Amino acid sequence: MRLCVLYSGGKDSNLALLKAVESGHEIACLLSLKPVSAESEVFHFPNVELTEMQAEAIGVPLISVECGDREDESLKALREGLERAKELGAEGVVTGAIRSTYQASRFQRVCYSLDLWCFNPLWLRDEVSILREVVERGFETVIVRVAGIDRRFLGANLKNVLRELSEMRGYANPAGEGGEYETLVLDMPLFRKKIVIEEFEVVGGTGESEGVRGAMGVMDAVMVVKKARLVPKR
Amino acid sequence: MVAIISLCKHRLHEEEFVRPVFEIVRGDREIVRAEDVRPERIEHESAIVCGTALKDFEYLKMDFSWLLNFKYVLGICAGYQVLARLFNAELSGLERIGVHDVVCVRKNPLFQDRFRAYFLHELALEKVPENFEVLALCENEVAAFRVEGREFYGVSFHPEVLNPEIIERFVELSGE
Repeated sequence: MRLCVLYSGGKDSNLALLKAVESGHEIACLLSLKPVSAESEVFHFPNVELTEMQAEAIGVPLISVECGDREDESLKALREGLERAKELGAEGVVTGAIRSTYQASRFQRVCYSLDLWCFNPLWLRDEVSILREVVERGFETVIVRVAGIDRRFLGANLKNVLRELSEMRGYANPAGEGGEYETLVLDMPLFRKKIVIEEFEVVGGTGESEGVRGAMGVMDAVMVVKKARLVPKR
Repeated sequence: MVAIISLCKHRLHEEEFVRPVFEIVRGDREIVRAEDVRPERIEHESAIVCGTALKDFEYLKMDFSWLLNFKYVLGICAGYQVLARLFNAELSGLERIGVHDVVCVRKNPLFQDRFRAYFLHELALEKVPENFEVLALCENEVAAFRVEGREFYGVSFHPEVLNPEIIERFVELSGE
């Protein structure tokens, strides 16, 4: 079956993509929802442009749809993106949803209304097992946003902080599904080239009042990639 | 040993509908795809028939009379539909996606009172034949039933998502 992958560029959507390909499905395209508001773009999707580079590394088309912050706006954007994916021959959608019934129901309803199959291969997976799997399978993943966990995780390669993230269980979601952190995949088995970050800046994470988020009162902080390039893999 | 039956047309869906049940059961269990079941070789006493994707209806074309060889059966969503058809109950077009309230209406070993459960189906029972006991309702939908005189249970929701204890209790009940 030809599938569209809902793609954020992070570890979960990349692992879901890999599982779909390993099950014998063909990838019609990636679909990335791009927030239009500056706040949302900076704090929640700091490196949305890099999805273009990731799509190029994989060698599949990318559908990028702008969406607003409101629930109805993001649903409209999702629907619009999936309609375009159908034009590219997609018969189904793959998501990296793990545990959120709110998110899963939303995807299921949109897919149902568009007569698309819906695949959630990470559904109900143990979060720590996902972290281990992406590291063991050779994903190069960096943490690009933290909210509610220590700012020192920012920019860290997942394989170097795996144990610390695993130990968060109990007070934070170790996979970051609650928004504790977000990741960017620079390389994984389906990438023909890998992404090298050449220049970045850290935004947020200082001061006391703005952007406070999370149980521990740690500031939102994001690593914004200013310059990156694709390089051949050895 | 518990046979965890997969109805999924696409193996990728087993990650979503079968693996989570397998992980809850622990103990002695194995995953068997419905089309691979050889009735003459069934050695298990209990079976859990798992759900599948909203667009997947391949299982409705299959013969499940071999399920009668089991002593204990729990049908989840599509598995509930399989049990309903096996015992000649009439399924209605009833789409339900998301988290909803379920109210227990009859004492049973799997659950009690009122609870929230995750649904994903477009077929369910609104009424049942005489040999069915309605155990729970979700609005006008029969959310759970038992086949009279057997330890065969059907739940129209996915207990593996928000109610894993229901699966654990079924496994306990079946002595596994």
